[in-house]
Amino acid sequence: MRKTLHLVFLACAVHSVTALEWPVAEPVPSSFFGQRAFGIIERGIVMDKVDTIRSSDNGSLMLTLKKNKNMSGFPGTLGNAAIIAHDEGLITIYGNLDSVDRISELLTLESGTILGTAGTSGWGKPASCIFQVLDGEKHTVLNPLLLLPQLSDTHGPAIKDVIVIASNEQIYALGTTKSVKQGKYKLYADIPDTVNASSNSLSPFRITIEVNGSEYSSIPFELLKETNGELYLSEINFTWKNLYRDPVRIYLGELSLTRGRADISIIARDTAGNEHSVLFGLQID
Amino acid sequence: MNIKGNLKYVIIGSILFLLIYMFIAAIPMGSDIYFEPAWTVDITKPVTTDPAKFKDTSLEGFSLGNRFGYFTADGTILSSTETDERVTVSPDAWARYPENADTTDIFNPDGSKRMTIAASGFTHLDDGRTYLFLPGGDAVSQYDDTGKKLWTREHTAPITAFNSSPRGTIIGYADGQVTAMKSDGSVLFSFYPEGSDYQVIMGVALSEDGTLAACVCGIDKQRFLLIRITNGQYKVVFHTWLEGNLHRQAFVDFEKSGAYAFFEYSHGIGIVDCVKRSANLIPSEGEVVNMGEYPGNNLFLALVKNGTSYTLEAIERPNHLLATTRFTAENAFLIQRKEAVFLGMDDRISRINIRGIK
Repeated sequence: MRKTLHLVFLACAVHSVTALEWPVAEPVPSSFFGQRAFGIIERGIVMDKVDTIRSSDNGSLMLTLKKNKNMSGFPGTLGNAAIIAHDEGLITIYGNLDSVDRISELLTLESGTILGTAGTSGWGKPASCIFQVLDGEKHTVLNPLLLLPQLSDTHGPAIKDVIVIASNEQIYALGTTKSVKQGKYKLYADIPDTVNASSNSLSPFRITIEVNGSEYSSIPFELLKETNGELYLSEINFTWKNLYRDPVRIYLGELSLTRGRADISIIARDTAGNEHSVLFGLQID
Repeated sequence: MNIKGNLKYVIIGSILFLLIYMFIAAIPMGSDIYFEPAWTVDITKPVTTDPAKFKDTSLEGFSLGNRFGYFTADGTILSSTETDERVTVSPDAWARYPENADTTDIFNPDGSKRMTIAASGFTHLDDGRTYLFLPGGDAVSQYDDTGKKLWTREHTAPITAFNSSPRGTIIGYADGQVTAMKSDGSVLFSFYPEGSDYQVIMGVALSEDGTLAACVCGIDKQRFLLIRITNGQYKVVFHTWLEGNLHRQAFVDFEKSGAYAFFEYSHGIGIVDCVKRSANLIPSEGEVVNMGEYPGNNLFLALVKNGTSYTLEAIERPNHLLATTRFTAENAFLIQRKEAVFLGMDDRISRINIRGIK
């Protein structure tokens, strides 16, 4: 619990020191940081139905990327993109712009400077904006929601289709299963979050697993790090291959269940503080 | 003194002196190099495809505006297809795909299917090598000829520079990291060049034999680096600070033998002698689209874009601009294969001969 509080405090501290502005006027997120996204862990926030894209803070233009054509360059999936450096090593990235001609001569940008309109140059839907935030000094990718104004969000995450898989690949649905044999079990659940009734299915901000009241494991959707050319979410075993090995559910970790009673809680929270938890009681034989 | 008697000797002596002077003190005049189109073909005309022609060893792929296809060195257009989708073309394969491609079929030049890349992203065909750039902007995979994934490399910053050779792949990132890998995905080297106020990689290149790498990096004190790779070790063997800052991706490449490296900087083009480890800079305005080398004559060609104005430049080592020609186009490319220079301009492709080379 102390670790959880520390991370929340850290998130709040970062939020107050280096807050960014939303790069679009009315954000309609289709994908949040850390969620399953077409073969990768989502690096930032993807917003749909975007018109104008603006700089989210004062900064300096580091580099523009251009959609390649006529046999030159390589097809970067950000398409036309702007990479802007801010104070304290923070870097913001704006992909899928219609053009970067507007900003190619601008070296200093103020918060709110128009970078362009959303186009079709990057991988994804037309008129979407790919927004990412990097810590250029620590070489990590940050969850932009830590630094952006809070979205209006009254919907907590849902927790569905919870299963455990035994080492012999036997699947047990929690909620209907009352007892299992002692041993190691991989825990999976589908945990979508929404910000309103019509929003897309998004990732939560933190998932915590408790067994018999004690924190067993936690998945914080706060930052991505790299080891040996592979990104992971906060802890080294939370890579794409591990987290999203199931086509629908997220992998929540391995439980080691010993004889007796096991109360397994899954607690999911979003950045607005909306929380949802479920409790499963199991008899371990 | 008999002046009349000596006059003839003075005249003969003067003539002899002039003749000798002409041969001894003569300075050879510079070559009058000029570009001469050998043929020009219209790529918008209907094509009658002869499947046998696709076996031509001089087959070249092209992508120009919203058209792509194949032509031969003698100026025969074998295919020319119009598309609104993205296209990647190399001499041995092609693919087209939408903006949200979930899977991509790759075809041989004659249109027969070669393989499928069963993953989301943008496919890139590079002289026999197949890559997939993954959504998110910071990850790339390489595939073999059957569509099997060989490796994937992710990083915590977007890819800003990319190049490959038969010996491997080199990638530059927005946080200033440069990583080079062998064909099997194992890392040759990975480091942050640093030395500038902002760390970012504008352009990278790996030589054909995989022993040299180059990059243009940094903002506020931008520089060019030449890196030697031997026995799994890397060493920066040459660097030069560059005037000004390029805030966009920079062209960087090696000449086929690895003797020279080319790079783009904010005021023009740099040519690096990788043996003598020296750089020569040639002022030029615009973005370098492509460069190529003319065999045996220390002659380099560069296609430079400035808005819709393109300039084809012939540069003699170390830094003599020998010839230029300008044209206006929305889209253009330059392909050079030894003496063969192909220039694409909107709706036509020309083979250009370089005349006046001695």
